[in-house]
Amino acid sequence: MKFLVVDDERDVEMLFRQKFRKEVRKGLLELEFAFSGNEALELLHNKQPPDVVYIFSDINMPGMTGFELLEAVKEQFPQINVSMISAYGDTENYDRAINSGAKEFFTKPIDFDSLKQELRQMLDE
Amino acid sequence: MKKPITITLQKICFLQLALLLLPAISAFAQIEKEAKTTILKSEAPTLRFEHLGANEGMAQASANSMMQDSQGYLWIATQGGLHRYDGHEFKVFAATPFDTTSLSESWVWGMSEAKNGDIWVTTEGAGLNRLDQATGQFKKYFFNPEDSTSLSSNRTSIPFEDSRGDLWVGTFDNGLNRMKAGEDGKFIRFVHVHDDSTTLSSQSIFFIDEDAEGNIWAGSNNGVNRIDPKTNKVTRFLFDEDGSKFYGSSNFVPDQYLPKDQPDIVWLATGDGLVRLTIKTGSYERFQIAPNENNTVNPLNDLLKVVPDPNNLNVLWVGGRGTGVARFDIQAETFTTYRHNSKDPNSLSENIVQSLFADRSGTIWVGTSTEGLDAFNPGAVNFTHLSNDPDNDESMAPGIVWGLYEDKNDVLWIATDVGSAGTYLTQFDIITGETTRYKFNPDDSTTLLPGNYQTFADDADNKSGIWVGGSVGLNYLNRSTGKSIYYQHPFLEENWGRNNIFALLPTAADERILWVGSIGGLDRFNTRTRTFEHVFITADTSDQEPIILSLVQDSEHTLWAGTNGGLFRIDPKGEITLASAYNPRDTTAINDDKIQAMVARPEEPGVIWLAMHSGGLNRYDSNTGKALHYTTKDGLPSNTVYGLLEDNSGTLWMSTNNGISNFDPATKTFRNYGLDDGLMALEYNQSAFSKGKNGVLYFGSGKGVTAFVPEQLHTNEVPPQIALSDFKLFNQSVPIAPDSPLTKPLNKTKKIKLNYTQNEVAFNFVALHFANADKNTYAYQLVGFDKDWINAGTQRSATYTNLPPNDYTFRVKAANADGVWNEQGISIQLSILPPWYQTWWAYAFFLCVIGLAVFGIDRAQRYRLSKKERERSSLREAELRAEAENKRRADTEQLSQIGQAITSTLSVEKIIETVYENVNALMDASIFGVGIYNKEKNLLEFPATKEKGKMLPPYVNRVDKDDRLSVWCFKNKEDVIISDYQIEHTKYLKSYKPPIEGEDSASVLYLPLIQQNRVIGVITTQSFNKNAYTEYHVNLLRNLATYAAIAIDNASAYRRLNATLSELQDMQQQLVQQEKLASLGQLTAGIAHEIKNPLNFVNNFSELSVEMIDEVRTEIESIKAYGDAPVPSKALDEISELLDDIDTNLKKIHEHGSRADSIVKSMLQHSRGGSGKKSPTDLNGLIKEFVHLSFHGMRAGKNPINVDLQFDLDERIKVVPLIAEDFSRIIVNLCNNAFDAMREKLVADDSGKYKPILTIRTQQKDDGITVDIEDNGPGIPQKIKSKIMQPFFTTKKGTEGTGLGLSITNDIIKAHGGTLEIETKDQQFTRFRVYLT
Repeated sequence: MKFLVVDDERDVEMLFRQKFRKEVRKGLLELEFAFSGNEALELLHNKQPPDVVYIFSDINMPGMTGFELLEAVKEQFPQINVSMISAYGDTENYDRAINSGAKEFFTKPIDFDSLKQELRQMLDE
Repeated sequence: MKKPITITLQKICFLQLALLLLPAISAFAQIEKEAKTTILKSEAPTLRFEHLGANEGMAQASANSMMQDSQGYLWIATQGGLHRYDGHEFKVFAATPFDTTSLSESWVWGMSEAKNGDIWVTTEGAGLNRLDQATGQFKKYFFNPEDSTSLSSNRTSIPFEDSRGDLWVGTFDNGLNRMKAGEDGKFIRFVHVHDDSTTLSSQSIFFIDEDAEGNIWAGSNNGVNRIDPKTNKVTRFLFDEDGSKFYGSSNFVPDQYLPKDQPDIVWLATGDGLVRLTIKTGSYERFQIAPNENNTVNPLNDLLKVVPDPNNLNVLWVGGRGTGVARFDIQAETFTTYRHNSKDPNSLSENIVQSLFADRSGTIWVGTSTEGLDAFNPGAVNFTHLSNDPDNDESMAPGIVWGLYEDKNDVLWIATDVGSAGTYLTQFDIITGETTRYKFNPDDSTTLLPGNYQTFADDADNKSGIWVGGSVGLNYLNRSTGKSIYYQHPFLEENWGRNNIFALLPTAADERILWVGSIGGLDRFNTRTRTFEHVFITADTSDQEPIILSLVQDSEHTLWAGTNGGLFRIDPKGEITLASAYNPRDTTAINDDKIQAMVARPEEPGVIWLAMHSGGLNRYDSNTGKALHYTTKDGLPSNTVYGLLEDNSGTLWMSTNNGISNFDPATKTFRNYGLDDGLMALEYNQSAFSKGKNGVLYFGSGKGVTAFVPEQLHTNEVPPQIALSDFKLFNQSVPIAPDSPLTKPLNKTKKIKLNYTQNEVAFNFVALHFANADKNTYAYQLVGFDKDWINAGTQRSATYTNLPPNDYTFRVKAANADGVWNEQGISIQLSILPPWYQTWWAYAFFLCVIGLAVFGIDRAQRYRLSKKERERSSLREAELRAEAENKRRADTEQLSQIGQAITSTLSVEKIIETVYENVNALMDASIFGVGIYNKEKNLLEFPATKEKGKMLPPYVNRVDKDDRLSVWCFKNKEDVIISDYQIEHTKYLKSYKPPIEGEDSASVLYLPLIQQNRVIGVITTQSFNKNAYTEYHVNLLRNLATYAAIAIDNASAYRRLNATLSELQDMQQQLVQQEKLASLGQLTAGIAHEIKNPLNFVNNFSELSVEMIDEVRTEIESIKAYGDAPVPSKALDEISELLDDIDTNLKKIHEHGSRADSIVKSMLQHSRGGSGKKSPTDLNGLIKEFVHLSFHGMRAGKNPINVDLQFDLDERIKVVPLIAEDFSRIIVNLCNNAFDAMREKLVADDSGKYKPILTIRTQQKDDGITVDIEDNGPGIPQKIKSKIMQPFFTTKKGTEGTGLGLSITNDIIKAHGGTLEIETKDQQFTRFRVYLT
């Protein structure tokens, strides 16, 4: 099961890889990373149909924002779940994310426990 | 695509087509004089009458006569008073009960200006008046039965002051009077004796005139008289022995005109037409407007006035009680009448015309009997209109004009739309004026298709054929048969829009093939085979075909298509490109996508002029691919341009939503035409414009067709006269009075003198040019104060406050509505006198007083010398005198020097020092001091007192205690003069008190320092010798005191000023600091976010590391289990892997920790101000950092918005010398402004389509570096653009902004030797460009 993390901070990759080291090693999940919205969309288009089942995306990124990515994914690949991660937990962002079809909305710093729970739920399903 | 029909129809005025026809024909078709129809021969213009009456301020609306005075004011005599008009308002002079200086009666008949500018006025029954314009008072002259040299009657009709200065006064019932110059009040009478031909022809005189030889002419109700002023001999003309003497009789002569170029001719207005009288022979010819019937005069012929046309020697204008106004063509000997037409609000307001007057600016004034004044400009009216007359089926069809075309066969095609009643096509023959109307008839397939007819083309093969492009298809109309054939595309999806045709144009290659532009795109139509061929046009990026709105072919045979998606180019080979389209980021592209009309001027190959739906006029240069834009900012009356035509002289004419505009590409200036210029509507229509082959331009509106030949549009070349109409002090008009600054009227005043307190003045002025007076413009300058002319626009006043004493000259110049300037203008000198103590004579006076005093003392001393002694030694006397004289001179000189020295210094200590140094040379001043009054503390302060040459410590005397001589002197404002202190101090003080500082003295002088009646302190000199001071010394000191008082007063004023200044500076400093803190505050949230990011990583990585260390421990435990057994390498690898990760994590923790640290550092730098020195800085890095800070600050602040940050940083830029902490503030400020602006637009955006984008761009240029901060927000309104750099200017409400941001930003940029430029476009973008060299 492939998860895609989109964030312009490159160290996020290392963070995720270490956090989900065990799960990856066990083969429960696979992690992919993209550092911009465009890169993410490109990645999705590279494999038809895409094997990614879940996208975690930062909202604030240069170029395409997380919201735009969300909208694009929901339009082109409605089957993929998308959750948003943002440093700003304001209601405007939250409402916009949920209304645009985001599954969950996480705030930074990322609570990896809740993230893991979310993933586990996905895996169980 | 069609302009929504919003024109209100209720006020449409349908003019008589017949009337309009005349100029249309003569002007356009340029028919020869031999033309058969007489009606075509007249060149009379259509006139537009402007009304002035009670609504505009007239006290009474019957205008008996009119004149213009030498200043340019228009005067009107009415039954309700004498009126003066300046183009804007009336001033009324009327009889006022009990005021003996007012007019003797308000019913006035005639006026004449006296040499000195006074106005002579005749009244219905109360004699003659002379108005003194300076005072507004009237002097009266009455009939006195006892006095044969009095006026012959009080029923006076007309005054006339001749070139000699003699006054002639006509009466209604008792002949004529002559009052010779210099014989005020003494009249010589001329009377009528019926059978004596050397007497006047009648007792009733109606006009008086003077010919070139100085003879006086007087018209009566029975003939006209010529009087030789030398002999008083009378010659009668047109006298009728049995004359009826009534209005409307052939010998009734109420007015005449003497043509200057024909001294033997007089034109007489008579009760029966216009008469040309040859003076030598007395023979005459009579010209009637209409023939008389049954021996009764036709009312049209009952004339009262005749005036020459201001521009055309061959034209006379007449008016009369039944005539209205008529134009007489002297050569053709024909009249054209202009009469009231209830359907036309711009016709004459009534037909009873009492007076007619041509002013110097070319306007002719018509005085009516009950409707006030009508004014018309016979030269200015050159717009002709065609419109529907509902009562005349021969006129053009009704409706809004949506299409116009003059074909090659002298037919003007007019397409109109009457809404639900359908559409019409009118065929208007411009030679004969005949019309034919065409309309769709569902039962007749040979009629035109329904819908609007929008575009036309001649048929190349048949002169009777015309192609008519409409909204439902193409028609071929044959004029000779009146039948049409139509061509429609089948109504299939692929043909969508192709039947709605906006443009027809013969192809350059073959005029039998037409280009057809429609909503469905571009087609070629072969008029021979009657087949269409589609030409596929598209921009590169889409399959959508644009709507073709306009087509034009240039001299290179390139076809240009104006569409709703920009400008397309179709070259002769058929290659299609999108030449230019609107792009909010490219100001060199066209500024609107909808192009309604185009012109390719042969003078500029490759240039296409475009009429935009909302972008005004564009000039697209295909050589460079760039466009220039001309909009309302440049003078266009509206940015919606419908029609565009080039006239024969190469200028462009366009129809807009606000009248017609003419643009000269050479000078890049607009001249706009509106209702005032004779247009009948302001809102013109899309597609409705055409150029005829004789240079006639046609534009269609909701009210009909406007047609004109540009060369014939007249410019009024008469520059305006200008008058100063008022002079105000402190916003009050200054009266003319002997003790007032104005002793004479303004036009006679050369110089106004004011004292230094009268320094708030205003001048009112007016251009006395009546052709569209509201559009007269002004410029003024107060020489000595204004460096340059101030353009006042149409404003007619100038105000100045706080003028310093000086000599000034106030100048005004003005231009008429056509922009013709009276460059010379008028001027008046203004002198504001300095206060008395600053004048040269005041200084001279001081010196004189000193001189006299010294002289007087000298005299007294000499008197005291005994007579005997003088007798004994004349030699000694001479010596003494010389000595005294020398001393006096020396003293005076010294005093003057002291005066100069101390009044030029501004420090109190220095003043005292200077006075002391000098006073010692003049008298014994062992003790010298100056006490200055401190009002707050109520003390006399002695800051610098000298005793025996040494400075005493400062001390004070309390004013509320009466124990000091200084206080006595100060309070009583009187001198203290003591020769022996021990004895005389009791005169001033109750008890003796020792001095506060220093020793007791014997002789004491205290003098008050008085400045402008205020005691500001005291001055003292004291001596340890008794009787040290004489009157002479007292006087010397008194003079010094005067100087010292002025100097000290100045010094303290200066000190106060300094205090205020430094307070202001402190305050400014504080504000700057506050602004720094405010911008820091805005950043705080951004900084928090920026720090939070690395801190998150620090936390995450350290948490991870802890987990991993636990795992390592677990691994180690498991290894322990092996005991001495060999440990599998896999377990060790696992540990080593974990340790590697921990190692990386710790490095990451360090990395992100440092990142947070550097952010905190730069924040501190930003707030604290750093070194203030330039140091090499990574400009791109700095910009990135602070843009992010600002962005996150905004994100975390109130009302965050999402913004797409687009960096376009030039990598060639490395390090730049910058004061980094200052420069970062520029970035923060500009970003914050951009965010605020975009938020505003986002909130207002209902469509949800707006996406805020902030572009940050750096560019290395040859001569420097540019930094752009560009938002796609709402733009900065033009009116505040110039203000935004001002300190404290803010558009943010309440406490959101200090208003200092941009001002400080600008200061910082300046300190870097750079500049800040702002470029903005409404609703598109704002770009701040920092330019560093």
